[in-house]
Amino acid sequence: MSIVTTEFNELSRTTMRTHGLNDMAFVVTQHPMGSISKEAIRARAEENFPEILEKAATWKPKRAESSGRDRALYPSEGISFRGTYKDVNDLFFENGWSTGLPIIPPTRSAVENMLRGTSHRPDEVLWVVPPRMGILTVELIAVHAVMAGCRPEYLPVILAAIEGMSEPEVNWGGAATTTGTVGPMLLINGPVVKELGIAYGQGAAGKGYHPNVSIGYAVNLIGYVVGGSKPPDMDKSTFGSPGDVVAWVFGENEEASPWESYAVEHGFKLADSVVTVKNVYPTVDMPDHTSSTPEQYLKWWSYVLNPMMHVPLGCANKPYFIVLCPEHAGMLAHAGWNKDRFRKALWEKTRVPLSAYSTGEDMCGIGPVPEELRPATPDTLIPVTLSPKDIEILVAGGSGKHSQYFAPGQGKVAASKRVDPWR
Amino acid sequence: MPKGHLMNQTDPQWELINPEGLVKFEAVKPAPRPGTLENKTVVMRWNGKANGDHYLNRVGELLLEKVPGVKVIRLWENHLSTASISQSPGESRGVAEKIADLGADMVIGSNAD
Repeated sequence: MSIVTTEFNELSRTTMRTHGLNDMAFVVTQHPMGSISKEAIRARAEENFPEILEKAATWKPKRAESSGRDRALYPSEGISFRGTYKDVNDLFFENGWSTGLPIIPPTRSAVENMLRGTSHRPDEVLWVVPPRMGILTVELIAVHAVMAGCRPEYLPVILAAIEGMSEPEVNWGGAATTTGTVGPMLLINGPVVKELGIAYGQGAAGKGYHPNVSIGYAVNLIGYVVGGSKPPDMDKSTFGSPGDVVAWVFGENEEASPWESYAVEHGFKLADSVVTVKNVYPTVDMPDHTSSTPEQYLKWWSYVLNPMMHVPLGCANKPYFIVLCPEHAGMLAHAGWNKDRFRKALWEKTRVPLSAYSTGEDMCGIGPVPEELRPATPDTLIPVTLSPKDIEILVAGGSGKHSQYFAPGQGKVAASKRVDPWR
Repeated sequence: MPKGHLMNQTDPQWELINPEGLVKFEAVKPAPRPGTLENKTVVMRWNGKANGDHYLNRVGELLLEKVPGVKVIRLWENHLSTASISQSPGESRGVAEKIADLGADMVIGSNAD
């Protein structure tokens, strides 16, 4: 049986249903659990105990089990509708089929045209998208690509990204329902970047670059419409972010990087076009305009990045993505530093003592102190991740002195997939 | 049909595709309850969030006080790594296997913040 708080009751019950249960033993207690006294928590347990005892011993499901789908997966259901372009947008928004931004109407002919971007069959199922457990076919991905304004040649990038997001270890289900401001990040490497005109230089992750923006919009439409990651009951993000509407999409600035690219570092060839996906928090800007040595630069980082700003250690999320601007990367390389030296130094310099938390010696913020750091004292230094290997370094963006980092949202991995198999 | 929509025969006719897709449920039968917790083993699983351990600790104390012969095991004291939100089905299976190895008749879990 599960004890859930009032705020998570609806999400728990929907999760129950999408995992095939029509009923489950829940005891609902008042939200929140955190930031209240131990005595108050114990009193709440006492208040709930009779129900806990009864449900643990004698609960029975109220409804008979029945579930399943009642129609074919492909082709997807058609809708005949007369109205203006705005009426179509109203229809989609009111049915929960768009996030609030306008969509291009996914007509049969537009979807057929989009499907010319891949040799894969439209009825191929790529993923059952949590938390709604919507069945995602190639056809349905093309529908969302049309809605987001993508061109057919973008479709293989989206398919590769979806292949990555569907990996269980990526944990999209967690990202889709967390209280954090977590959304997908797509890093693109290789020839496809220039082939499609994916931005990797000035303002790459922002506005004005059609493939970046439309691919990011398509991916998040899929998470919202097919996956059902919708506030306030399923997407529990406390605040939300524009990253929930359009995913972060950018190429690596391979020509400005003094080091090998992220994809090559992870075993791909220079000639491979690769999409890497990771659930991330929005970027934090690191605007060091003054450092001229790696040592000065690291000092700046030590005040910008620390484990208290994020929850990854307690939740075991990883890896961090450090996105260096070319000027910062150049300064490090000029001093003879490679990625690995910077990674290790960054890991060393960004730790805080356990005493910085208000949670005693057993907890470091959101979770217990990991076994690897025990026995812990108030002076134990808590790193951003358990290993410097969980810090990824890459170069993107244009001129200027603004590097970034993405803290990891749910999932213990980033997934990298080749684009060519999806053409 | 959108709210307030007035159909005008001069408006275009759209043949659209529903973007939502079907859902897939694999039916699962809930495990039967034991009827009583007397002489049974109860494993408590904490998700690592603040105060969940204090809540479950008090539930464990009350079980020992009120239920004859019950055995209470705090999973996180045996396996600290389970005191977190599962990040994948594989990790969830690993937690379930650890619980099964402890001979659990009942699992009480805490969820949410």
